[in-house]
Amino acid sequence: MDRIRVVLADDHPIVRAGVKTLLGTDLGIELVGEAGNGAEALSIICGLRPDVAVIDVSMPGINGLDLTERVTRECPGTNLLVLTVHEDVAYVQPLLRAGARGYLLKRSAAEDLPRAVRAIAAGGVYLDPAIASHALADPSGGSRGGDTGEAGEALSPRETEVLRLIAQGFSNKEIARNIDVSVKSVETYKARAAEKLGLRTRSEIIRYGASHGWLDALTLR
Amino acid sequence: MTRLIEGLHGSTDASGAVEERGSLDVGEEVTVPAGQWSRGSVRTFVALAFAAAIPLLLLSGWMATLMAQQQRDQTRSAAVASATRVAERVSSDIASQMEVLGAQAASASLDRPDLAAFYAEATRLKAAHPLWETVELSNPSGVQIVNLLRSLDAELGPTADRESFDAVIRSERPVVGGIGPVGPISGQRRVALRVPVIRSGALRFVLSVGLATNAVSSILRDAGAPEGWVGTIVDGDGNTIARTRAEAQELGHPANPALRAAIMRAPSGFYSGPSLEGPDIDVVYRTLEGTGGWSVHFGMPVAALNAPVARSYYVLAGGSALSFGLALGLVGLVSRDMAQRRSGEQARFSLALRSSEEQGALAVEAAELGTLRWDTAQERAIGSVRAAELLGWDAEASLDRETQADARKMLDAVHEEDRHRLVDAVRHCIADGMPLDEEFRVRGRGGQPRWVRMIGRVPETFKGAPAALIYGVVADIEPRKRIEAERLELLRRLGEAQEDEQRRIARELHDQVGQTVTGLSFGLKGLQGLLEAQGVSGEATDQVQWLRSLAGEIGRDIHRAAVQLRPTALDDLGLREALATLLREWSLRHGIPSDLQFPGEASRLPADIETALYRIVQEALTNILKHAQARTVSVSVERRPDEVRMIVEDDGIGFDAEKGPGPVEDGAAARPHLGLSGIRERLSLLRGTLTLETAPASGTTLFVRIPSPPRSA
Repeated sequence: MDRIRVVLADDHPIVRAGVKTLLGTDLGIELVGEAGNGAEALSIICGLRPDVAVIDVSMPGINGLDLTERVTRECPGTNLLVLTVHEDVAYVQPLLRAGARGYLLKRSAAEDLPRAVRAIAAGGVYLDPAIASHALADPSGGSRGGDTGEAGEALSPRETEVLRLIAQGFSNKEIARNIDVSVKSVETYKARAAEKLGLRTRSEIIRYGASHGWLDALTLR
Repeated sequence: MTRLIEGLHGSTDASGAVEERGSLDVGEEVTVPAGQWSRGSVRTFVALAFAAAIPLLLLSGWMATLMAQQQRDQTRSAAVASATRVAERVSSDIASQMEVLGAQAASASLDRPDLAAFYAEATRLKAAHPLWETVELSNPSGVQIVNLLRSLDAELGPTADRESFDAVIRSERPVVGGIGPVGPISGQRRVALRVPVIRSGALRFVLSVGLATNAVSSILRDAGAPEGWVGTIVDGDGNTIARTRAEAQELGHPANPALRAAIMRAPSGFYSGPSLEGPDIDVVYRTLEGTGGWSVHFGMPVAALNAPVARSYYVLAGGSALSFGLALGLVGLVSRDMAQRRSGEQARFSLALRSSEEQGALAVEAAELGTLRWDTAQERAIGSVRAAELLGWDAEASLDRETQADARKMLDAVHEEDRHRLVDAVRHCIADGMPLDEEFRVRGRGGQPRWVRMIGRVPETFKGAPAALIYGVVADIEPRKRIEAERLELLRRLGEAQEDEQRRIARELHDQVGQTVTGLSFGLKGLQGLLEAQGVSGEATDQVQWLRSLAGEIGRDIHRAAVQLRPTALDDLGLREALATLLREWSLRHGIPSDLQFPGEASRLPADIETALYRIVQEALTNILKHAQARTVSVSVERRPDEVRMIVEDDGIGFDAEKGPGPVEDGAAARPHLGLSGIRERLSLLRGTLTLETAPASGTTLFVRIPSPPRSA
């Protein structure tokens, strides 16, 4: 069986040394190249065409996101594993969209790096367990609300109007002034409409509004 | 005052000289009213005298008229009395003579008759009555038998006055005749008194007396006519018997038609008509009894009778005219007096006004304020020199110390970003009567914008009516604005420095410490491998394992600390991802679901705005956790063409916006106010606004608005 050819790109020598040591103990993985910054990494990866490139997202020169995009575009044969200290879910989605196949936290690398490399080399996707729990958990409960409304009870014209203005970002007071009713009435219309459609928060109302094209007039200017 | 200002300005130009004269004028006007007052009191006295004289004049004229009329009436009533007296006198005279005649008619000498005896008796009688001209005796056929003017045996003709004779024959009663025709014997016109001589029931003779022509006149004269009146006695046929004046010509002539008409009308009264002498006369008349229709008339020329009345009318008219003249004079005096009083009042008013204006001007100048009258209907503004300077007017037209400017030109000088706001505020001020207080920039002389503040209002006097006028003061607030701007700049730089520092530390933690810890954990892993390769087990490997987990924890803690200082995702990936992570982590940690919406385009915002919004959400989440007891939190960020709007909403307990923030139950224990003021501070640096909407039990919503430059920038 061929050894998995790996290129490592990280601007920290300590990390590089650690990774080298770790992968050196694994007989199935061969470290074929190293880079200390983004630009170097891009040329080495495209030159060596490894199976897997392990890259840090925050390197001087080209940053991790750009690097991911360029490698994916220019050397499509290489699978990218992001190795990072950023325990920040925010990074996960953009990187995966850009073409990365794995996301591994540096603090768990000592344990999981070989496994992650193998998984990616095999064509799979690897997410650090600490991140995966966050990334998969959706505190908002998914895209509920945007499409439940259709099944619900029909809204009165006033309720629709109030809901539309809420989605467009107006305060209750502004709405009250706008359609010439009391603030209390606006709250009532809002509550009734939200209940009919099963919308609980303003965000859900906004999402509902967006799906009904209520926001186009505001944003497409 | 003026000199003081001139001194301050260090110049004594033409306008200064004008002012100098102006202040002298004021001094003069102080002294003038004293002289005016004494002259005024003389005039007042004269006016009072005039006012008193006018009714006196009118009254005396009226009295004169009344008295004249009374006098005329008295004259007339005296005439009436005279007429009555004369009438009675004449009547009684005639009656007594008729009696004498009646007695003679019954004389025995006429029984047979004894003409000679009768003649002697008659001669005696005639001697006793000087007015008797003659005594005549006629037979019923009218032929005279005896006439004292002739001897007894003389041949006598028919009696002269046939009319009265016939009346006696007809009535067989005494008759007073009128003035008869010229007698054939006497050759004169006489008045005949005739009585019938009746014996044994048959009329034998008619005894007559011929009165001398002037006999009745002498009775009239004796009775006495009032002075100035002309008396006339007229017989039943209307012929004049006697007259007090011009008797000779008038006797026997018929009287005028007015007289006859009056007699026909009534036995006594008045009439007027043309007299025999010519001028119109007023006549009093009375008919005599037992004289066969005689009447007494007293006439006086109308002019003479009415002379005093006419005179009094002249007096009255003259008095009236004089009164009118006096009244005119009085009006003139009073109006002049009023005019002078008014001008005195005005002088005092203007003095008081000027002094109060001076005080106001002093205050305004001391405060370096410009004053302004802005007429929006005519689009004109008039301001002091200072106002013109502050508002950047060209000295278009100088009126004394004021400068006039076209309102549109004035607005042109206002910075275009502030112009609309100023116009709105002015309109609002005029429409609602609200005070005007606006700060705006004006293009200065060097092209540098300069901050000024305009405070004004619609003048009180025009409040009732719709007016288009604003009185205002303009103040230079450039220094204050500069300090404010400096403070804001300082705050901004402080915030920026803080963010930079936090960003640097966060980076440091990630890039240095974090990597070192990573190296440490790799090293420990290697150590573990070595130990395992050497077959060491037990406590040493456990120790290494523990160290590895410790290294992992350190790595996690470092990350957390770095993110709390500043999430690198905010710089690397932008607000959307950073907020998503923030909310996700927050929800996981606190078990409160959250939701984030980014309607519209997901382009990056300017870094300062992203940072501010991120920090605001952080603060809001802190508040929600502390106070709101929310079940869900919802954040939405919307990019509009000209601004960014962010709404942070929770469905917690909210609070009473009137009482101020703080949970209803906890009272003063919690104060999220600090959080809100932090948010406001942050927004003020970006010219953003925060609106809070909340009520007990209905959650809290923060509306954040930050103006942002167009996307291309």
